[in-house]
Amino acid sequence: MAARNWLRGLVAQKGEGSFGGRIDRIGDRYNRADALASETFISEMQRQGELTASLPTPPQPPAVNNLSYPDSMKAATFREVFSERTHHNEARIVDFIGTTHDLDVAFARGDASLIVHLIKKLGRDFGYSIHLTQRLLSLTHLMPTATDLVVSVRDYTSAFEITKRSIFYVALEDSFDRTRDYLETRRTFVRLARSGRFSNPSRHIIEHHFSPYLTDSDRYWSRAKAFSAYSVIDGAMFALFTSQPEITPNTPQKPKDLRSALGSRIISASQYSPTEGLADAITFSVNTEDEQSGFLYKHSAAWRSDPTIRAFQDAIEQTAGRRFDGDFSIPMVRSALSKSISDDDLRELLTQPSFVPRNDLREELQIGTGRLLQTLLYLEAAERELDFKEIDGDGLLNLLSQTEDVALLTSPLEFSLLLPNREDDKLYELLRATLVYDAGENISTEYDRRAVFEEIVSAEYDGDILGLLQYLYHRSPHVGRYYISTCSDHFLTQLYQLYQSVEAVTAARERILFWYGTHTGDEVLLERARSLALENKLSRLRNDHDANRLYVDAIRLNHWLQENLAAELREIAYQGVDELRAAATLEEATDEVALMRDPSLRLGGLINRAFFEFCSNKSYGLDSYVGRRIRHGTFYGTLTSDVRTTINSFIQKQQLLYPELCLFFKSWLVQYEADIRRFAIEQLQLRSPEKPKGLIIANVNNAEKLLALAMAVDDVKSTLQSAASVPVALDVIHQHCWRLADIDLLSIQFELERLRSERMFIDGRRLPLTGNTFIDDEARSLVRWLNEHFIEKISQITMWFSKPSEVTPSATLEELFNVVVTEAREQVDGFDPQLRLSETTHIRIIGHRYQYVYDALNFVVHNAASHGKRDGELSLQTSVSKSDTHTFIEVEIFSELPTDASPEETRESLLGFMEAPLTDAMVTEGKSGIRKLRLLAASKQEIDSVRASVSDTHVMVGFRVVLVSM
Amino acid sequence: METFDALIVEDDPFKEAALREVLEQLDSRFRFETSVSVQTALLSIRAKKFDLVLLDMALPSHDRSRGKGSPTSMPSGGLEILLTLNRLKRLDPIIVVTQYPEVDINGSLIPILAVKSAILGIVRVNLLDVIHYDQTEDAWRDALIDTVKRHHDKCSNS
Repeated sequence: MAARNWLRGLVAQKGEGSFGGRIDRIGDRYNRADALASETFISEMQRQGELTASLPTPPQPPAVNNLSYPDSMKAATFREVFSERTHHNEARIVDFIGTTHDLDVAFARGDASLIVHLIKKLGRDFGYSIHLTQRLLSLTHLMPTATDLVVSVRDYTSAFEITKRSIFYVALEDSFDRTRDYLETRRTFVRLARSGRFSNPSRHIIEHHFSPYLTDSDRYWSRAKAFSAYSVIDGAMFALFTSQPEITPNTPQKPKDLRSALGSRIISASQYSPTEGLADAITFSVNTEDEQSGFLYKHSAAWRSDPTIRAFQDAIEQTAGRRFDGDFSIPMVRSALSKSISDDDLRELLTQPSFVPRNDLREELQIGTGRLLQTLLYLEAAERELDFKEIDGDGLLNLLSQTEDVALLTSPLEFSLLLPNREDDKLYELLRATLVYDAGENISTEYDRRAVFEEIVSAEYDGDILGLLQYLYHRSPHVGRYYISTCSDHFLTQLYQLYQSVEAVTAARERILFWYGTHTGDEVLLERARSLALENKLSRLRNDHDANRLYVDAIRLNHWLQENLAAELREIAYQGVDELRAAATLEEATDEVALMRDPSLRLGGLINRAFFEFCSNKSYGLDSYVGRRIRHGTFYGTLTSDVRTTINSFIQKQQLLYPELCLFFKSWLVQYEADIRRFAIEQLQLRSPEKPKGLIIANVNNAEKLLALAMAVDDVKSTLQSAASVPVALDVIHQHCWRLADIDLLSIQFELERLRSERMFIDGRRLPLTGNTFIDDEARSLVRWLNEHFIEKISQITMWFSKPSEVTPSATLEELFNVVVTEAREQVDGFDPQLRLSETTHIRIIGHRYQYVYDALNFVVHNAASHGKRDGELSLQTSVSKSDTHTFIEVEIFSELPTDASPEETRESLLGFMEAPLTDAMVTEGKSGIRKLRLLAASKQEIDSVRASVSDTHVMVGFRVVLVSM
Repeated sequence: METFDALIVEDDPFKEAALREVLEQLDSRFRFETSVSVQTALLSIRAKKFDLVLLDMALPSHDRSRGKGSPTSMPSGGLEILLTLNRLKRLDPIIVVTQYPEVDINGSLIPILAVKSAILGIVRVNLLDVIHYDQTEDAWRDALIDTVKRHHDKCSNS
């Protein structure tokens, strides 16, 4: 009853004045059961924010913001309270020191079961302290595979995870995490702590964890208050292992440090010998001696009760702590290094090929060997403002290979003193530019580094980037790894002098990954390399296909030319070509009567007919390929799919709060989609009375074409004159058809640019701004993205409208299937199937067969994308059989039916398409995929046996590829 | 006859044609080269000095060439040209002409009025002006003509 009344009083006062006062005396006032229950109650209330209180050994991790932090208490008063408090808890503190020492010994001996036992005891008997939390978090990162240990630590730390984690806990955990960069973690937390973002106790605890070296006695007292507020254990540990900075005549009077306020039992308990083998146990998992000291340093905050490790950490912090924090403004305190090494020795030690540690230095500095010591020597050189005028590229490489993070530990100004320009030494300049960049990242330093990188690869490695990387890696794996990781896609893309195309960039990246993965045997890297190689291959196939998107079936056209023009051409050749001439005017070129009357225009008329067939044949002409490969969803999908997804995602997020802004984008999208659809329907067409705006015009309709026709007439005349055969002349006519078509294709390119400029471009100034800076910036960024996206897409589409490349494309059936699916993913909203491919056929499909098979797959896959389940399974099954003369590939593509589709209706509809008339299938859009496939099979001997079936869950569409065996 | 070599770095053919037309009308002595990507602009810049460079800021990394992959969009691609001129210590006169009311510099969108000083804070180049190109208005034409004239006058007087 008495305890309850007392607690009521405490809660009523919100715990005010509880620090070091009433709460500490619970054990004196009440029996053990009441005292424990009261502590648990206070701890819970404190965590819930009902109380501002500090318990001596909190049974739960306290909420740091609700600690009794005696901010304004004078140092002398605090010292008295502290003394009284630690005196009162002396037995507990002494016991804690003994048990943690036992833990150190058990860890040094590798006695896992004893470690687990001690962890449980510490948690049970002493509650939560920063000191123990540091030690346990370090332990789990040092022994991640010791399951029982990890579990027992987790039992202790899980209480931190119940609500939002304390920021100091996150800082502690991240600092020991090997996957994180220690320096970056330290700088981030120290910067945030000093920025005033955290409450006072958190700020001081975090700062002390990373940066324990103090030069200012005010900070000493602030930190002491923070640790003492957390627990009496932490207050005592701080007092034992942190010295108050020397008081100078300029600093206000301060009381003696807290260590002297501790009882003699605590002092003597803490004065045990260093634990033998502790440092080795901490660095056990580090393979190279080079890295051991650095590793030990990163964990040292958790092991400061050990005198050796404390001295080790203090020596480093004193020498370089400020630089590790990213603070270059105040000179370092001169360490033993200042006295031990001359300037010349320092230069030599830093630049010799391999560093031989001097025993006297090791002993004197107590900072071990390896990269850490070299780094400290380097920092000493920076402090002395030494220059390295004599150092060359190789010397600098030696220095970098034996140090760590020097770029981050040196200011740009110091670099300009340490490493002056040496334009005659490209390796030196590369390393120097890299250091300057890392010391102060900005657009200029980034450019300089890249420029020098490019120069050295061009001048000394014959443009082979791998040559430089291999050299660097061979000389110093440490430095080599840095540059390998620098060579990202973005970095390589900007090596404009080395790589003239994006394809060359991706090929270089692939080579680097393969080499590095193979060299290191790193499976993850190799897997990335393999996946990049596949992507590149797919991308090359797509590029090949883009270069051949427009096509006219040469075999079928030549048949037509032979059947319809050869005889007449033979007759012209027989009669002599001297009198033949090109039409002088457009009227002459297009007037049928004039052409019939004037025999000298016969050849021009014949070329006109060929050109008309070339453009307009519904099965193999230019318009049919524009229809099947561009108009058939591709044009609209390429221009709208990403745009719609991005705009809808913006609208979804902002609709509720900013409807006017969303309406702007919505209306714009509706208009945009209509414009794109209209352009395809009206202009990407063969001009006819039905399509008067069509941009493909199958006759001579302008001065440019008249000129092209005249050139064609001249060429064919001279071919016939040179007694070449009629088939050769027909081939010349075929080539001239492309030249004539080129004029229309150029006009399509021009109209596409006009479409972008006049209909697609969004003027950011028209945005109905909201007044919310963040949202308005997002809207502006969206507009920029859209405008840049349009430039990119229109440039891509523009390239489709040109004569196919001379290079014969080739791919396996499976590769082509992948290309087609990738395209469909980009063109059909939400189409993201799970692919299943049967065994590869390994048969390469080349030339005109490539075109047919691509078209066949394209029809089927687009059909599945448009009408099937978009995130369902899409499988390709193939089987190969051979006769003496032919190879047959059976192709079947299975797609899932949408969940709401009726198999009966789908079957009926599919049957309809299988029986529908084929006329015009290639030049019409919308539900025409199956008809297009059938027409393809009807007109090409390489494709046949089109079939389709519907089960309860799937649609299958199949065909057969027939290849003549060589 | 004295000629002036002008380089237009612009991937939008309409805008490029419009810029060229203004300069041709202003002075028939202009001879033009055009680059449509950062990569080819750098080739031109390294090949010779220019009497005037009209520079767009958002550019593709490389020329789009068939069968060679899509270039990467570089929102601050124009800066690469300026950084290269700076490295080469070249003072070719430059006018930035952009369609956007802000320019992406170092990942931040800088309002057009502040772009000139932002650029000159990074590189030492002969940047005459930064002009906002709006095809629906004539202000950009007047600004371009005015800037080129002033530059010519300054050259004649010196």
